Amino acid sequence: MIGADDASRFSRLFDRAVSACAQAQLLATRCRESQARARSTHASARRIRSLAADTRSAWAETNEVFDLMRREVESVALAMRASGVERAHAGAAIRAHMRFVLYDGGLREQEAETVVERASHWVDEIYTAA
Amino acid sequence: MPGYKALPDQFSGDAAEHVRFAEVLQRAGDPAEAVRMLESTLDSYALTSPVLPGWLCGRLAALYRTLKRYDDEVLMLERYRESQSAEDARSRFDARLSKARAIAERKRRTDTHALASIRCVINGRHDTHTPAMITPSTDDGAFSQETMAAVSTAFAVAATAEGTPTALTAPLATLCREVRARGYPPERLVVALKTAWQSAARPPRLSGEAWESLYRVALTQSLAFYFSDPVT
Repeated sequence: MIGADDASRFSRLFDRAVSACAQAQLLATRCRESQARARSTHASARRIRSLAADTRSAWAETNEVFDLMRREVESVALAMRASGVERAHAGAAIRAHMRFVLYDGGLREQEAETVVERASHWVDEIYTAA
Repeated sequence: MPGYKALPDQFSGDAAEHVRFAEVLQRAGDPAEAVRMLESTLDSYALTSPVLPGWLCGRLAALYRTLKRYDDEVLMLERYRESQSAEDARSRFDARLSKARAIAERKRRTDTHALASIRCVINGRHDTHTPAMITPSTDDGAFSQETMAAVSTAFAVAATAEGTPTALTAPLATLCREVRARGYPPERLVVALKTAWQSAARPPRLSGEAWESLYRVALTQSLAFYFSDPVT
């Protein structure tokens, strides 16, 4: 269970960044799927070009949002490391909080877990760099 | 932002990054989320400096107008004006403020929130702070009645207990085992838990905030059980 100390580390901005990441990823995945469907159904070149442009733009925005989330996750992980929290506990507390935000927000496992996995990796990097 | 170009690169720091993030949210069609982002950024900024930045206040005011929150737009522009000491900065948004006041006066809502208060009393709960972006669909009765009843009862018991709500642990573990045994995804667990929480009777003396906090604890704990990833 997340204790009060852990819970206080997560700001509203952290939650917003996590939600936005999952939503951005969902949007990018849908764009990619539309493009694949258009190719397989031999849609017009013009339609495929337009979908490709949309997909590129969606991926660009996804990267932008992921960068912001990375900063938020790293800032929480750094604070935890500085106050002596162990790597396993920090990772689990961040994953637990993120899962609450994502699943309570109505996201499905395939979108949510990708985001959780990336965050987990960033936390590991912070602890490895110590 | 409506009527604004992207924030130039010369602006840096956390507040500027958050404004850029809000721009992304707004472009993605979620102005309400963009407003929440800018509001919390402005609150953080105000803690460090009494002089509020026009590039943040102006964008937030524009979003308020998009969302038809005319009174908030007026308050925002007035707050900006009050925070400035230089006269040219104070008068920067005067034309906008004057127009915003006129719109707000014309559109002022008559809703005094009395209805919301009455609904709150009738329903015995007030869950507007629960941060659900999408309301989960209703439970389709896929779980055993005993398990659902046990979770509902545990919510009521945990609500009256002091400290950590241990009464929830065993029923939540049972619910998670059931979800896994049936091969359901975690989304089904969330729907079942929310249904059980909503059907439980909130003790009259327990604040809405404490009741929501109990839901947060229960969902966090359930997901940790489900993914076998407990916080040590």
